[in-house]
Amino acid sequence: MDILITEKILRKFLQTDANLATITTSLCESGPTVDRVHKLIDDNLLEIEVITNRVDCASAFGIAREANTILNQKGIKSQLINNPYKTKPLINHQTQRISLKIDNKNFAKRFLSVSVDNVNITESDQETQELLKQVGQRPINNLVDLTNVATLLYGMPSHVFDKDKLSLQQLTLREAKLGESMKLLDNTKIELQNGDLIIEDDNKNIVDLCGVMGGQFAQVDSHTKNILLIVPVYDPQKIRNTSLFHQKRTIAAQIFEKSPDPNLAPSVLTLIANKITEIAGGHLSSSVLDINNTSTTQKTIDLNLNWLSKFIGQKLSASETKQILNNLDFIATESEGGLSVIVPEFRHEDINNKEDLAEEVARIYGYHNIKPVFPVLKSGGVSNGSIFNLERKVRNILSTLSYNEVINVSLISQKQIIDCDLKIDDHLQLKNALSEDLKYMRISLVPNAIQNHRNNIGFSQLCLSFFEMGNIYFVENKNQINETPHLVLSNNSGLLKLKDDLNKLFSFLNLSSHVSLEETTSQPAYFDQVNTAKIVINDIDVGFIGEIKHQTITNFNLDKPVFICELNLEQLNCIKPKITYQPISIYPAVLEDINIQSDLSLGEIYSTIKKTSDLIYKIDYLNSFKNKHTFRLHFISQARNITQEETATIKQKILKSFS
Amino acid sequence: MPAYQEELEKIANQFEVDLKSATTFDDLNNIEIKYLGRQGFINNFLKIYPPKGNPELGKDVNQLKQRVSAHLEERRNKLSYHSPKIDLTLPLKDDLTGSTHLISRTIEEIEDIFAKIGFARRRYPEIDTDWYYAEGLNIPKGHPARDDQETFYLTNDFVLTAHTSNGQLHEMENQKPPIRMINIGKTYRRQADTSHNPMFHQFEGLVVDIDISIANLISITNYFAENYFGVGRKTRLRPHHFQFTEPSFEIDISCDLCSGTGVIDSVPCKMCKSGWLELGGAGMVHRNVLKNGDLDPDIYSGFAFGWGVERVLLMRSGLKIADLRNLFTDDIRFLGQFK
Repeated sequence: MDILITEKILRKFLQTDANLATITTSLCESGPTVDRVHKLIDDNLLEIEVITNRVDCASAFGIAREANTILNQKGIKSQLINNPYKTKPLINHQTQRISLKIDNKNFAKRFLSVSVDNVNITESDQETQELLKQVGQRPINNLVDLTNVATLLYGMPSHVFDKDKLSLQQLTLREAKLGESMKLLDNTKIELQNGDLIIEDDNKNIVDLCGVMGGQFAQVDSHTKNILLIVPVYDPQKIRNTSLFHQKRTIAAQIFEKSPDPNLAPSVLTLIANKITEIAGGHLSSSVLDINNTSTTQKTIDLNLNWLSKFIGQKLSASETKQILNNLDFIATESEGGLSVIVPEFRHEDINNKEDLAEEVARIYGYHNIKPVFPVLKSGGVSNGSIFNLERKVRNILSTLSYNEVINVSLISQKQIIDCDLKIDDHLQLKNALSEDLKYMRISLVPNAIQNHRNNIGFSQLCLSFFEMGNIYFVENKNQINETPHLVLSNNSGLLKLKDDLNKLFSFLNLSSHVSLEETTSQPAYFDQVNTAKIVINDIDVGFIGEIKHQTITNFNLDKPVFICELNLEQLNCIKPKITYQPISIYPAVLEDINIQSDLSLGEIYSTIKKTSDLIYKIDYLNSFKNKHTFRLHFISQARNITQEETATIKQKILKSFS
Repeated sequence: MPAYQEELEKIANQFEVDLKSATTFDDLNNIEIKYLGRQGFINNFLKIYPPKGNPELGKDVNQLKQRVSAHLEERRNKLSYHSPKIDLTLPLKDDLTGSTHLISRTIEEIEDIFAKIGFARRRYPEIDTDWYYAEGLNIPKGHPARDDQETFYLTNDFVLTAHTSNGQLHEMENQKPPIRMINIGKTYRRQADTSHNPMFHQFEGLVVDIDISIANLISITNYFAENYFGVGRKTRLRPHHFQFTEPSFEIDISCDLCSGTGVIDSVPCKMCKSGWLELGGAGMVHRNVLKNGDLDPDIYSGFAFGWGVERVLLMRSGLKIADLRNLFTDDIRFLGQFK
């Protein structure tokens, strides 16, 4: 939660010679962060980020209290003044009582109220108006402004009603019911929800949306004579729900939803009531209503000093620790092996265990005063498999082969799914997508890959090649979502070029001799039926390579074909090629060309040739004319020179298998 | 063998010797005159043994002449050989290779920096259950930390993780202490502006062991700052609050532009807040999280941090990318700039 306060109201509580820069730096190091300081004409405006669980800091007084402790620790003289907790209770002898019924005592931890009669409603003085404007609020009138300034000063919201507009016999604090509505001070009409806390008067008028905003019904205006002041502390969760639901994120709501200290409420009531009579005249016209539903028991936490030193990583003496805690209003007394620490009531919500105390001690001692200690070097185990190494290798190889790495968002649109002929139902769908473009978790990297080509049309580069590595996501069963790393590479320069690059990739990965590309009919829908092959390694299907079908290319508004290879990296990572040394033959290789006439696929012809003899250690494909194909055979033997007769016999055998 | 042949042989042998010792063009010219000149060995020979009426002799002499010429020519060629001139002065191109992505490279760097000090790299689910994402991290249902509006939901129980902290409990399940983890992965938030992309990357460090301290955390953040950003860069801790750490910190790193002073030429530095840049959150692992990871918080302690990959990438000086969303473009003119 961010708050705005001025230097002047901060110094109202903080008496120190320290300049503002010293104060803000000290706060940043050990307390709330001062994000920015804006120079005003004769003041400074501080933008402060109050840590969410430290509502006690959400005021000028709260910041001053922190600053005071921190400055003192640094040896800078400082004193906390005008402490509201030291305010004397309101003395009055009125017999008129305010009657408030609270439906469920959990609704309000504390509720104080008093009425003041015969007040003069005017504009606030210049100083007050100026202050409110500086912190971005609008001055209204002297009494409303007074409650707003009190919130700034003490962090305890309050509210004033026009008493004469209320039927005061009996006020009720209750939960609203669906169907009820009310008009708020900001002139909006809202439909109340079940559970919203409201105050209702005796005539069933809803006069307050508790903790969020007052109602228009009993608004203080220029004709108001008599007022009713309330200082409540509500159930934080209920205020949060109401404020979020109605989208009224008022300062009051932001404070109430974080549980301000109920013990501060009586002081604030007194301070405001006294100030009312001081600036607007009038007199107290009722006794003080004080409903106290707090049942907090004192919290005591044991702090073992040996543990503390180990946890912080720095030895702190008992006396030093004790002094820091006491400066923070804890009551620390020495006990066996450490300290017994009583938590002050205004820290009741955020201090729960010894780690919380360690934080208090360490931050005030100063994180910058802690000497860094490198943890003992130990192995955190082996990184998952070698998938990261594989990815790194693939990245380096493909980038060297002229492929550009892309990182696409893993979410795709309905249109992309349909354009690729994939099924919407196979995709996980976001319940609260930010846009139609990013709505479904991809089950393939291909839609994005095609999109990458589409997005680069007209950027002068004719040849485009991309690759991406990322997860694809699909539902395994109802309770299991599967994420698998995949690789996609794509180009627009040709399928054989793509195959060639894939070949180089596998070659670098020592896998090319294990890979076969086979004709298939099981390819995903976006691939062309003819020009696609599946990639098989050691009998495991790891992916596909092919041309994107014409319809899909047209759907993406492309006019050139795109060629794509997609691979399952997880499966690829499971295949560990064994690299063993092959002795080098001392006998020269014999090269012979062979012409084969066959309607089989080149892959099949190749494997048939290969199978014919162990002496053929390498086969180069040279060219084809119709179904006539030329291959160059490399014969080699580890044991002897190969004779013409031998190669002739093998060639005969090969030709025979194709006749 | 006729006598003239013996004589010719002598000349031929002498030529071999002379040729061998020749090292310059002048030497070769002299040899040419010595053998083929008007007063040369061969003409002198023909004066003694006229070829007329002896065709065998004529043939032999011609052969020797050719041989001498050929050898001289060959030696001359060797001495004078020059490849055709190649002009190498055109500037080098930088579009001959493809490119690796800036984010991937940053991830690799981060992995390497932490690998040196024994951190195992992990990758945990991007789609995870409420337990790992919130409940188990000490964020109970109904807690304000939940209604951030920034999380993408898939089902009631599955979210797209908005942070890599879901890896903490997974790691505690998979690896008993000592734990030294660096979990790098994709994260998602319902945000899109100059400093947010709906998808981004985080790296989550987790160390759990006996006697892990705040001082340890400080040393590791300093180690990262110096190794990633450069020697001399400092970090500081500011108090903060997260549900899954206690105490919690915001880590700042000293600004490079103003050398941590917050001022350049007596004008406030535009890059940072008074000399410091926000790196990200960190803290000592909350006892409830340790318990949820089946570790006894009275025996073990630990620290964790979760920082943005894109953030540290953009914070490194010199890159000058103003809009984080640029990192996710597929524009070849952008990608091609980073090899």
